[in-house]
Amino acid sequence: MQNIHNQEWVGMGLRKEHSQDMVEQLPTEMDCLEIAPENYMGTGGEYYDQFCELSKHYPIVFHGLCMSVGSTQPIDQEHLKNIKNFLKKFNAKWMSDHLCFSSVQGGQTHDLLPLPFTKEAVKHVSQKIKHIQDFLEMPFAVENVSYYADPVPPEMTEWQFISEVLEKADCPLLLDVNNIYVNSVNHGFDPYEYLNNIPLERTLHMHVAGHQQQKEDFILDTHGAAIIDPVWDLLSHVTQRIQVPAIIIERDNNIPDLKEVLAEVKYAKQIQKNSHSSFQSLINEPVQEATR
Amino acid sequence: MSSLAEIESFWGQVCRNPDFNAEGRFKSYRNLVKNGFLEVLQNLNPVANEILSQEEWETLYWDFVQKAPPRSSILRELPKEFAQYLKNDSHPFAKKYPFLADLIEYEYLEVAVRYAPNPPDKVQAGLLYLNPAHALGHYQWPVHFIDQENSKPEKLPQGNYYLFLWRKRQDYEVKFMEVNPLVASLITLLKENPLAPDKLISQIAQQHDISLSKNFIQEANVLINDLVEKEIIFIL
Repeated sequence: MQNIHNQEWVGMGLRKEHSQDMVEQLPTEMDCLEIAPENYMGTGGEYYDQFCELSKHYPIVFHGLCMSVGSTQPIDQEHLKNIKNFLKKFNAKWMSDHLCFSSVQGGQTHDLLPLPFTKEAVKHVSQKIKHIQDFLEMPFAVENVSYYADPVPPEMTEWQFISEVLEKADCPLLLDVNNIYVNSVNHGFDPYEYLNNIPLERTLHMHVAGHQQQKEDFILDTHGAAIIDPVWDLLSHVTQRIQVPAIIIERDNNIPDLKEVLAEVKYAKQIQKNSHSSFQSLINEPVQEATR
Repeated sequence: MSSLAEIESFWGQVCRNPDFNAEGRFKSYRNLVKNGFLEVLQNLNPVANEILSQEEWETLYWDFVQKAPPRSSILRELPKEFAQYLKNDSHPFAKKYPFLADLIEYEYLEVAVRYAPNPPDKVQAGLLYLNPAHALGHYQWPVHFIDQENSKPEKLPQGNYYLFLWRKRQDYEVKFMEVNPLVASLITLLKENPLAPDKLISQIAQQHDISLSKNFIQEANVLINDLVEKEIIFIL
């Protein structure tokens, strides 16, 4: 873990629309690339070959889609074994996935459904995360997800829920600042209060993305637009307080030219760089007491 | 509803039961899941997408997720599970589009071949290997001729269609061709084990009860060379 925390990579999620251009250009703006193992493991062909070529030039950060840590069904051990073999092949330092349901009652949803913020859910997902982490023999970071509705009244705030899971599972955090922003608008809370009340020091990996504002109080987390300033501000707030091993720009819809995504990578790097002076002054200050 | 299992079951109802009353933002989730599935199915099945109306896709979607909720965590395998559902369960358009299961599976095979593992780096000299990026489909309907113009079941001749798909090594292009039972058995034999050309020829002759004449051996070698040229099989 120690050497992971000494690095500060900024990169982007690899999309097949950009693969060929990336292989040809090998952009210097990026320090790393993020991929979903599910999209490449057990495959061959054009995209796999492009990914293999890129893996020779950039460290790879892994972010899964289907672990469904919330689901009450047991983990698919065969899937987990395949993931482990794939991670080993590409020298993964850690794995990550979402803190949610991505399958319900055994059937995949291929979408992220929120967990209830309850003590029972904390206990359940912590045990699952521990199991995954032990099996993979590497840190398994869980991501805070965006959500639109709660099926039951919460027993705690979202940040209390996340904090309890991280502590009980003793796992790292994949902090998505866009998801915090989306949730703050959809559920009416202060995103800085959220950030100031989670164990930021557990952050191993970050996501920054764009979204679609549908109504004043409703945002759809599309990953299909440019990143807006309030989300960049949240990134800056975090990088002023901690060193983040990997910051990833995500774009999943309305895929623009590679140039456009690289400009966002560059901007994130600038934020990280500018944060260093502030970081030095905050480094001895407890994270919980940090203010905006 | 308070336990995690009950909440999971609630999400199951929201996502898979169109009669379950999902309002407001829960309806957004229902639509997100449905639209995500349909986007994958429609994009990966372009021919079926031209033939089926949006309403028909939606009807099939609800029937599919209720009868056979997809289990694979690999998103590109969704059409494979959809084809299995069409084959195993009586679907709402079985009479109107009796070829649908065959068509969806055939279109999936193209995806499967596009993403299939690469050939091994090390091979034994003198043996014929089957390109691992391949699929062999056997269909009752002439799926390779079906399109929007040719989709009336009564005008489509039913039969035994063996379609072979493979991916070329250099440009990754996925090709297909209709093969006869003899070529299908050659492919099946090489799928089991790599074989020397003479062994392959004698096994085919044995399987099809053909005498191992000079003429047959010559024709079989021409066929093998053609398959090597097409990158369906390879030899060092």
